[in-house]
Amino acid sequence: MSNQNISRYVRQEIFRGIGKAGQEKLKSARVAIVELSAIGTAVANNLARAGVGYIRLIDGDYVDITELQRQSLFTEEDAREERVKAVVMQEYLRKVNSDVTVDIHIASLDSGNVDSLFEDIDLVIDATDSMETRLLINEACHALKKPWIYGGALASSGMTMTFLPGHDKPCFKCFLGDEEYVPGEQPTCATEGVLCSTTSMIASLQCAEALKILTGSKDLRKDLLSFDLWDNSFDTFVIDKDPDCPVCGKKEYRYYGKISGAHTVSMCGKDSMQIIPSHEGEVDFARYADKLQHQGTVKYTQYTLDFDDGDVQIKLFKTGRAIIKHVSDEQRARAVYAEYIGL
Amino acid sequence: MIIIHNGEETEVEEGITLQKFLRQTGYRRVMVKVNGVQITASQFSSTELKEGDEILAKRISGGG
Repeated sequence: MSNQNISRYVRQEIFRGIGKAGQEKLKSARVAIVELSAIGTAVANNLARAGVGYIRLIDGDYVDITELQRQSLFTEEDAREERVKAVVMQEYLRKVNSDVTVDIHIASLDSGNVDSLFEDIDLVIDATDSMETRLLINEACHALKKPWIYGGALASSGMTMTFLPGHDKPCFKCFLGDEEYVPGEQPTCATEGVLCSTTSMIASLQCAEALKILTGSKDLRKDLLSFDLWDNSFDTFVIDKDPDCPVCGKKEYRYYGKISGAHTVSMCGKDSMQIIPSHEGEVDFARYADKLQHQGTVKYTQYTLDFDDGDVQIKLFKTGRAIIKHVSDEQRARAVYAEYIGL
Repeated sequence: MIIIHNGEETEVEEGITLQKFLRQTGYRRVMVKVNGVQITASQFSSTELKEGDEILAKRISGGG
């Protein structure tokens, strides 16, 4: 038999849990990955190689040198050129597996785009470092009846749990309890650090669960799995459904279906603020470059426009979203956006 | 009295409840096992800690 006649997925097809029938299911499966973080890049790589037929990458960030320690597949050149993560990943995954459709959405997930990004998807993988985004995923997946897989990593510890649609199933809010999320309250990877081993572990656990869901396996993990690779501890916790849960009990959504105005988001691990306008549009980079060229250095590609006047540095995306660099104050970031781009 | 909190010996007042201990330690959203048995949030206030109890407390991991 020639190599051409051997399926590239033979090792999965002979695995009892998948088989040829399971591999066919993977081929027609559609998965969304929310953010190309360390977890997200590893998940995307794993699922593309496994032959998941359609992968939607949702991320509005660019490659930064401090991320190479853990974010697989990005290179020094990508960081030097501050290339858009989703574009780099799309190019890479197309070379890895040309059978797979890799669709990219160069923006953050928000209440305005979540319906269109999730409604034709079979499974959502959470790889975000934002708790607000994770709460939106939870509410959207509950409303749209989509399964999703939570994954979080910090330092040497990680957690993951699979959330399935169904009136008798707990959701992420059941797990959080009635305490409100307070921005800035939690430790982050920027303050506590994170190991590549931790994020890789979470990604592997999520991918195994993803393959089970997409092939219709009944062997899903029901509990929350928690580990610490430095302390050598592995534990599971039962998460009970809360009948009074505002999300899965009462359908009182706090993020999903809400229209927010222009808002500002700090970026984990980066000395920058992100401004997301209330209405996304299609920015004409040539026109902006012409407008800004007398005030500083302007260069642009198909995806981003960079402006630098020696004091202010802006990376503007096609939708109007912008990252204001070396700014940690929200008001200052909004003022810069208003002055140079216009709010 | 001494309890073991995430592997570290910790001195706490006699008869302290799990809820009070967690608050004093600065936990908010947390999952807990005492001597290997999971304690749900609704049981925190009625769970009294004893000398030598082993408390495993896990915060929610938020990073990506």
